[in-house]
Amino acid sequence: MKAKQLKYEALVRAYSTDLYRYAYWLCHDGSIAEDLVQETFLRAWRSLESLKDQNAAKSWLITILRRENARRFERKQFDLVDIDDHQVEDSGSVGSEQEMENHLLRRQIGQLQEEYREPLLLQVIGGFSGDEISSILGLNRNTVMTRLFRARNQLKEALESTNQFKGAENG
Amino acid sequence: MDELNFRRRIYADPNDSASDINKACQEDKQLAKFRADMQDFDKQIAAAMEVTPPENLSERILLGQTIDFQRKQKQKHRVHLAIAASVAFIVGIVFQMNGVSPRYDNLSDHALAHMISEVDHIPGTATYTREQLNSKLVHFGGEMANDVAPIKFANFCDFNGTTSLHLVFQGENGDVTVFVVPSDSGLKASDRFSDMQYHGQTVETQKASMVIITDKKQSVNNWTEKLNKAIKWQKA
Repeated sequence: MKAKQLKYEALVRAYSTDLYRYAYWLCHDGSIAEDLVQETFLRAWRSLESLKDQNAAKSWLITILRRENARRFERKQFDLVDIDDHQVEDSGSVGSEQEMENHLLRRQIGQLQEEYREPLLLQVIGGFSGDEISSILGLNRNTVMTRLFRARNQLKEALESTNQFKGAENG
Repeated sequence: MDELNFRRRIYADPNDSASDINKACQEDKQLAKFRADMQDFDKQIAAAMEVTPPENLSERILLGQTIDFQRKQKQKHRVHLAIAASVAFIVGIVFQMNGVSPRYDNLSDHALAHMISEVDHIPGTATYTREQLNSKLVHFGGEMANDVAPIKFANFCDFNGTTSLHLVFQGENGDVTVFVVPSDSGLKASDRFSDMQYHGQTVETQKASMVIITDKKQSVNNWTEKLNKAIKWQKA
């Protein structure tokens, strides 16, 4: 019992921040993200025995979190929001050029289609390899790599077109 | 590796360091720069994805787990208790059906059993007054006109499902127990009865049976006479 508790606490401390970030980009809402993370860790506690390989802990938790997120949509069919209409929360004032870009990038990430955004989140936040992402998402590796390519491509294009627009304005 | 393929792979994973990618970078400065730029862009993406989690997120998760765990334990206890109660209930029914638990259809046997089971609960000192006794005796159509002995106990009790009066007097040679049981109790009374230690008598009145029990060292006859003289029973 004691050993289980220690193992669990170690998991919570190691992964709660990454899981929260991941959840936030799935649902675009801080409080829903926290609920998702809470629920994920509760389920993890109840089935901690099934986690045999400590190295797989992170992808195991992500899989639980994704399932919880899907459940949320099953429960709340009518609360579905079209992602294009949804502004991603951002805080703080926009100052320097870099902050401006950061702000734009956040919006663009929020507006990426989910099928492109999720592999990108797994790669950047989760640090997972192409093979790991394909097993988490249940897709073949080529599909995953194509989606990652498109995700970055879209972000880069969106950013460059805004910069061009800005340049034209300044010129 | 052609350039298009190289770019696609770097877009998909800027940190791809497979040997063919590294080789292409060494051979072509442009490709190396492209990779470096994409790696910078990825750092930008990572910075943009950074979201500050709520304060004490880990602690809150751990607290949530503790509360959930305690609730589960409580539910488990409740289930165990419910199972135990069900088992006890079934056992009770089975015993009742098989007649294992003692049953008395005889007033005197019941009176003896009741007295013996209650003997430990009778106070050592006699603190009840005759008024207290009469306030209860009146429900059975009786009134004690004069004191016969100090009263140690005078209370209603359940007598095989019938509300009855349980009295204990402090006699000179030991306690005397008297039950006043309504006539409609369905229990048959016998005039005289006894076991190894006690003996008793039953007196029928208009509304009730009065069962008097003493131990065998005392004369139950004397007590019956005393009580008959002291208690006035309503006539029909």
